[in-house]
Amino acid sequence: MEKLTVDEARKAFSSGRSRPLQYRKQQLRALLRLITEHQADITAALKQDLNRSEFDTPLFELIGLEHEIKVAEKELSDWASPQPARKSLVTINDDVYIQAEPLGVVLIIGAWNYPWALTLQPLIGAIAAGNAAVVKPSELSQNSSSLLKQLLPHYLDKEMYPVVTGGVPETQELLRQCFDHIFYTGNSTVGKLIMEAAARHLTPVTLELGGKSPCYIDKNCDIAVACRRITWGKFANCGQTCIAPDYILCHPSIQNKVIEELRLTLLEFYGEEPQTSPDYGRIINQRHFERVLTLMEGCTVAVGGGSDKTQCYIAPTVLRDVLPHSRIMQEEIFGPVLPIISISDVSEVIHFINEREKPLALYVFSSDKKVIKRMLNETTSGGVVVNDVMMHYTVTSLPFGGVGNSGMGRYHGKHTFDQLSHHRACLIKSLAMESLNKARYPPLTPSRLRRAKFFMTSRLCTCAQATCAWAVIATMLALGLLIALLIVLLKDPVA
Amino acid sequence: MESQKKVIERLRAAFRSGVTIPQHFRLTQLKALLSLLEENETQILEAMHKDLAKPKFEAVLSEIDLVVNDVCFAINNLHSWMQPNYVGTNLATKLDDCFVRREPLGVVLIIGAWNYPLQLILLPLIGAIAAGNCALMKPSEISAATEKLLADLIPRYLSQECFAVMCGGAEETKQLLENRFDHIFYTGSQAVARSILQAAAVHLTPVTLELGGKCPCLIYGRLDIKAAAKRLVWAKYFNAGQSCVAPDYVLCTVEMRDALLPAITQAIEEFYGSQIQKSVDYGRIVTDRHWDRLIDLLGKSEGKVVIGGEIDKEEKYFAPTVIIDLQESDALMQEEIFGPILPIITIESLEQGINFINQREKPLALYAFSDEPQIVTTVLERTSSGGFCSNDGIVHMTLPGLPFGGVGASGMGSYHGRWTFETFSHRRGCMFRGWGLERIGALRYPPYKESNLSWLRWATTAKKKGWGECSVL
Repeated sequence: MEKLTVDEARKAFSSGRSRPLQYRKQQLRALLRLITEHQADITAALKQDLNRSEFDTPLFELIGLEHEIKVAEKELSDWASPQPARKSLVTINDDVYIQAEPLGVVLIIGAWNYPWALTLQPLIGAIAAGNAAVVKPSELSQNSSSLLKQLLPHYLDKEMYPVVTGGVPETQELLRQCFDHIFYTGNSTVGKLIMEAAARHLTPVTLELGGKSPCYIDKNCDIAVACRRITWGKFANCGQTCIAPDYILCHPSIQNKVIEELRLTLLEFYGEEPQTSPDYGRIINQRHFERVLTLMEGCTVAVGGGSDKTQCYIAPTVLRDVLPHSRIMQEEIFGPVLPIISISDVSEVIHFINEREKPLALYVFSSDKKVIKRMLNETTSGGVVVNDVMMHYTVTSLPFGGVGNSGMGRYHGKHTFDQLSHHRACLIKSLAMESLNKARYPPLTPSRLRRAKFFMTSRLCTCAQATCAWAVIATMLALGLLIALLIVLLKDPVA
Repeated sequence: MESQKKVIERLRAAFRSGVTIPQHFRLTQLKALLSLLEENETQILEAMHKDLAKPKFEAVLSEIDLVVNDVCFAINNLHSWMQPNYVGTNLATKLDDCFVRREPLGVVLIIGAWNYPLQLILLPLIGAIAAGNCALMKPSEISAATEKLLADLIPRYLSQECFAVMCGGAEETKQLLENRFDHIFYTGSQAVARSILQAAAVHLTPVTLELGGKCPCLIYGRLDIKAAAKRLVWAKYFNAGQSCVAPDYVLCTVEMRDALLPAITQAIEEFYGSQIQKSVDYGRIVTDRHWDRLIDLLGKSEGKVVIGGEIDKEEKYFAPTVIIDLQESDALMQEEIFGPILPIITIESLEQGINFINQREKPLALYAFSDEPQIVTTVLERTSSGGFCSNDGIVHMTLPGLPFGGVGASGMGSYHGRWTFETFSHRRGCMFRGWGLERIGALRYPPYKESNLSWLRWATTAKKKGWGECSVL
C-alpha cells in the first residue's frame, strides 16, 4: 500500500507539474486556506491529543505556519532563480551560476508534540522547492493525524502530496521505499534507525532530534524576568517541546530565589490548581506519563510534584539540588519537571555542558557580557538564545537545527527550501575561443604549462590585498582625472 | 605505531583544548600546507607518476595547482568566512541581535581516493582546517606511493596534535569507522558509501559522499565539431579516463557520430602523437586489477571498436578507445567505465537522449555540447545532475565559487572553496535578547486572553516586504 503511494507520488513528480513556480505558489496558498478555514477543527483535535488550550494552538502552531507560507510565497521567485558565482579568468565570458532544483520525492515524518507545525513546516519547504512529498504524521497525536489525512487531499494535489497514517509497521514499510530525501523530527534512537534505512538507498536525511537543552542563570541577571521567561518556555505544551529548557544550572546562592520566582510565576500563569487551568496541557499518553514520573524518583521537590493518572496530568514541578548522576539527568525529560543543579563557577558550567551530548538549544541568562561571550565561544549547540528561551525558533532567517546527537541539517524559511533542493553547479560555455583552450591541451611544453597555470589559478581574482591595492590605485587615478577635469572646466577662458 | 583509538583520542583532546579555534592557528596551518606543496612539488609529482604514470602536465594542473589555488582562496577569505552573519529582524525583534555563527564540528574523518590522490585528500582538509576542526586522513592504499608520501609530509608541516594520517586497506578502514567522528568525508564508490553511511548512522554522524556514476555527454544540433571533439577528448582521456567527472559515454545522432569520429581521431593525434604509448602526456591504469576489469568489460561488450583498442598489460597501458554500435543493455553501459573507453550511443532525437539520461541514476556531471543555446537550456532544465557544463568537460569543478558534489546516487553534500568550509562547520543560530520590553513579551504568557492573541496576530502579520522575519513576538 505504502509502495503504491510512493510510486504514485514519483509519477506525479516525473510529470513535471510541480516545477513551475505558479503551481508551487498555488499549492502554498491552498495550504494556507486549509489552516485558516479549519482552525477550529485543528484546535479541537489538539485539545483531544494534548489538552492544548485554544490559544496555544495559534500561538505555537498556526501563526508560525501562516507566516512561513507567506514568506515562501513572497520570496519563491528569488529563491528559485539562478545564483551567479565567482568566475576565473578563463571563464570570464561564460555563465557561471548555481541553480536550485527539486530533489524528487521527499518523505516527511512528523512528531506528536507539535503535530501541525512539525509536519507542515517541512512540507512548505518541500512544495516551495518543487518536490513531491509523502507526509507521515505521528500516530501518537491520533486526532491530528486523522484530521490531516482527511483535509490535505481536499486542498493540495493529492497524488503529489499524499498523507500516510499508521504506526511503526507502516513507517517501516515506507522506509523500505526509495526517497530523494527523508526529513525526520523525533528522538535520537529512531533517528539512527532512519539514517540506517536511508543508507540503503544513499538517501540524504535531515534529522531534527532533541536532547537536554541546558539553561544557565548567572548570578548577575534579572532573576525575576529570567524565571518568567523560563517558566513560559518550560511549561508550555506541558514541557513537551524539543527546545524547552530541560534543566537549570545556577550558583547555589541564588537557587532559593530562582525557586521562589518560578513558583510565583507558575501561580500567575496557571493559578493555584493548574489541573483546572484551561491553559495547562497534559502528557500525551500513559507510557510517557509513567516515564516522566519515574524520572522524578529520588529527587527533592521544591514546587509541585502532584499527578493524576486518569488525566495524564503532572503538576508543574521544580526539583532542587539535583545531582548530575541522577536518573533525571540521563535522558531528555520532555515533561513539566524542571531540575535545578547548583554549580559555583562559570568554567564548571561550561565543562558540565561540554561533557554531555551537544544539545539542540542552549540558554544563557546574564547581564555580564564576559559571561555571555564565554558561554557562546566555549560551548556548541544547535541554537542559542541569551536572556530568553525558544524565541530563535520564530525568526525564519535563522537556521533551525541540531548538531551531533541533536541532529543534522537545518530548516525554517529559506533554509527549508535549500535543504530540500539540489544546488546544481552550472557552467555554460560556448565553443568559441578555442585557441584559449590550447594552453591546457597536451603535448606539454614549458610555455604551455606556464600559460595554463596563469589562466587556471584564481589567485589574481581572489587575493584580497591585490584587489585592495588595485582599488586604491584606481581611486587615486580617478580622483586625479576628476581634479584635472575640474581644473579644465573651471579655468577662466583667456580673454 | 599508534593504535587507531589512541590517535583519535589525541585529536579529540587537542580539539577540546580549543587550540584549533583561533583564526591565527588556522591560518598558520593553511600556510604550512601551502609550504608543503611548494617545497615538495618534485616528490609529489614522482609519487603520482609511480602510482598512475600521471603525466607531469596533468599532475601540476589538476592536483598541485588546484590545491594551491584552494589554499590561497581559503587563506584570503578565512577572516570573512569566520565572521558571524547578522540576519534580518523585524519590528518586534529590532532590539535583538540575531546572527549565525560558524562553529567547528570537532574531529573529522577524510577518506581519499586513488585517482586524484593528492586533491581528494587535501581539498577537504583545507576546509576542515579553515573551519577549526581536527582531522584524521585516510588516503587510498591503492595509490600507495602518494599515501606513503602524505603520511611522511603531513606530520612534518602540520600540527601533529591536531592532524594525523592513517594508512591501511579495507580492514583498517572498517575498524576506523567503528569510532565516533563529528563528520565523515568520503570520496569513492557507491557500494562502499552505503557501508560508510550505515557506520555513520550508529553515531548520528553527518557525512559528505562524493561518489560517481556514468556522466552522460549529449552532443546535438549545430556545432563546431573540431572544437567539441578536442574538449571531449581532453576531458575523457585526462588521467586515462579515471576521473569521476569524465564524460562516461556520448549520446548523439548517427550523422553527428560520423562527423565526430575523424575529429576525435585528429584530436587524439594532436594531443598524444601517433605513438600514444610513447607520449609522456598519456597516463596509465592504476593497478592490474583495474586494468583487467577494463579488458573484461571491453570483452563482454557487443560494440565495435573504431578508434584505439591497443593494450599493453605490462605497462597497464590502454589506448584511447572509442566504441560504437552498442545497445543500452551492453556491458559497458551497466557500470561506470572509469577508463579510456568511450561508447557512442546513437539517438534519433533530443527527446530520446533526454529520456535515456533520465531513466538512469542522477550522474555527478552532465555535459551538453551544442552551439544552439536553446538545446543546452532544454537539456539543463529537463535533467538533474551534480553539476552541469555545456561545451566542455571537467572544468566546472575548477571554479572555487561553484559547489562540487553529487545528487542521488552520485552523492550528497558538496565542497570546494567556501563550500568545504561550510561542510565542516555547524551553523549555529544565535539570538541575543534584552531585558526590556517585558510588558510586550508578556503578551505571550498565560493565562491566555483573546485580546492578547489578536495583538500578537497583528504584530506578526507584517505585510511589508522585509518585515516578515519574526513570526511570534
